[in-house]
Amino acid sequence: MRRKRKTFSDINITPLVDVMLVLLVIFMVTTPMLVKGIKVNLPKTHSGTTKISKKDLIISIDKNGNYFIDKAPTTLEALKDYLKAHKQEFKSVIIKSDKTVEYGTVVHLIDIIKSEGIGRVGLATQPGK
Amino acid sequence: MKKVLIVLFMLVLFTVSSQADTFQLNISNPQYKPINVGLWGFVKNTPPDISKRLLKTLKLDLELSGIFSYDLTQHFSYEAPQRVVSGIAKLDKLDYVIYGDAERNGKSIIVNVMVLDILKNYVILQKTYVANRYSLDWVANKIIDTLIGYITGAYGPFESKILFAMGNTKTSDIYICDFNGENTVRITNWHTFNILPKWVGQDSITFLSYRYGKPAIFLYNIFNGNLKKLFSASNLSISAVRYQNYFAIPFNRYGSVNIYVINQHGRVLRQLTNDPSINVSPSFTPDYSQMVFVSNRDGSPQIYIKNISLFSSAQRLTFDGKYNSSPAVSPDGKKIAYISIQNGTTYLKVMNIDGSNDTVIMKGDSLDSPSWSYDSRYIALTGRLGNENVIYIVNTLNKQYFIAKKTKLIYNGLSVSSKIE
Repeated sequence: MRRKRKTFSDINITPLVDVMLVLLVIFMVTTPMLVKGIKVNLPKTHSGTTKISKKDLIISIDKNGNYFIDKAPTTLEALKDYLKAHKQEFKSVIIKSDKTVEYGTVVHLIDIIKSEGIGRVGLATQPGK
Repeated sequence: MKKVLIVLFMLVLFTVSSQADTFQLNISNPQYKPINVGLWGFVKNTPPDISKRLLKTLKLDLELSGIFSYDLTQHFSYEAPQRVVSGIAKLDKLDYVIYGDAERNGKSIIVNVMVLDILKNYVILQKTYVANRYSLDWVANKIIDTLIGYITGAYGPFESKILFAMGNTKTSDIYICDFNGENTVRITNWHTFNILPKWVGQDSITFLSYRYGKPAIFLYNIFNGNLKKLFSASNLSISAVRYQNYFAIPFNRYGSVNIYVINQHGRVLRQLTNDPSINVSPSFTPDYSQMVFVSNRDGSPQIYIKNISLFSSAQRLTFDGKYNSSPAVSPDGKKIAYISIQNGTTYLKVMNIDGSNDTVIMKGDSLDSPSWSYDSRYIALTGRLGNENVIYIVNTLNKQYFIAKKTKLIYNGLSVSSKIE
């Protein structure tokens, strides 16, 4: 008597798990790279951190006083034009300034941003240990 | 129960599918995606009047080319650091950036130009031009032509001039304008009918005039003003085109209209067609070995090609439609542009020199006199739009067309020059 062969009806999830794990590793590696703006030595604070969202424009000042829009180098003059042209596209401006940059430089930048009609300006800090 | 479920399922399926029919997807050809250019110069460190003129011409050329869209949001002078311009252009997702400035120096205007390829981080053009108020637009044309040349591999078409006839119902004069329709200059002012102008050299034109009552073809040098009556032994409205060092003219002789070669003194040297029909509108390949013309030898006006050097018989190229006319051979000798009239509508068509790959480029009202730009990609032609006459500039590669000039009455016989140095 022939034995009736049972069909194998379960889904083999091993390849799916493989793919998911690979994707997880890719996301873990690339997420830190997606940080907006250039890397600067931010001042440390204990009170809290500035939340940066995708809709924020990041303006960075490095320790030499160079300005960057996101990661693109810029001048104050070019920055003014850029803010004028794109102010509708972002929610707020976050300033990422190196902790060695003079107070006056940052205030001057805030002044330029405000004079272009942008009210929401934040200062990025690093959480202290 | 099962039957009810099946019926319900079918009902849902039917409803969904019938709704799906009402959707209409409008997918544009991805080939038509314009190239984004940052037109970011000539505002800073530039006098307002020069800025206005330069930007106007640059914008016009970018639009008429049919391949660009432009961004005017930023402003950089020539001294702006390249990495800053490049960085912001990348943020703005632009492909190319034009920037620079201009200043007056006595009667001269110094124009500093920088053109960047953002993706390749390459300087396409970095040059200082010395212009004056008459040649300022020409600098703008050169900038766009250089950019087109860099992107497409063939230099742009804007360093040429369009010759056309414009007037009212009583008189018509010959005018000349830039390829973008700007800087129109009147050539004749004779209070009579002057029509069908043709470029026959870098500085010379021919046109038909009724100045002395009877139609006569004149040869005119636009730089030194020399005017000469070339041919008056015909009562037809005809134009003369360049044939080697001579001219090809169709005229009525022995009862039929054929195409003849005449010299500068109006003497007939050679007969190019010999058929008891009407043979007009000659256009030659660059080596003058072949002639494309219109003939009604088979009953209706059709386009024919004839190998002149081999004395072979003419071959018919068009078989579609009852009226095909105004052929123009492209400067590279590979294509023929012509006008086809079907059911009262005019079509601009382009086919290969052997008649293959016949394609409609444009449909319009009263399209006429197509003339190629020197890069063999663009065509200027006349047409009618509402109550006005227009000169269209057509990109034959992507079939985009724009109006370069709009006026009350433009007569037939438009002609585009070769590249003017």
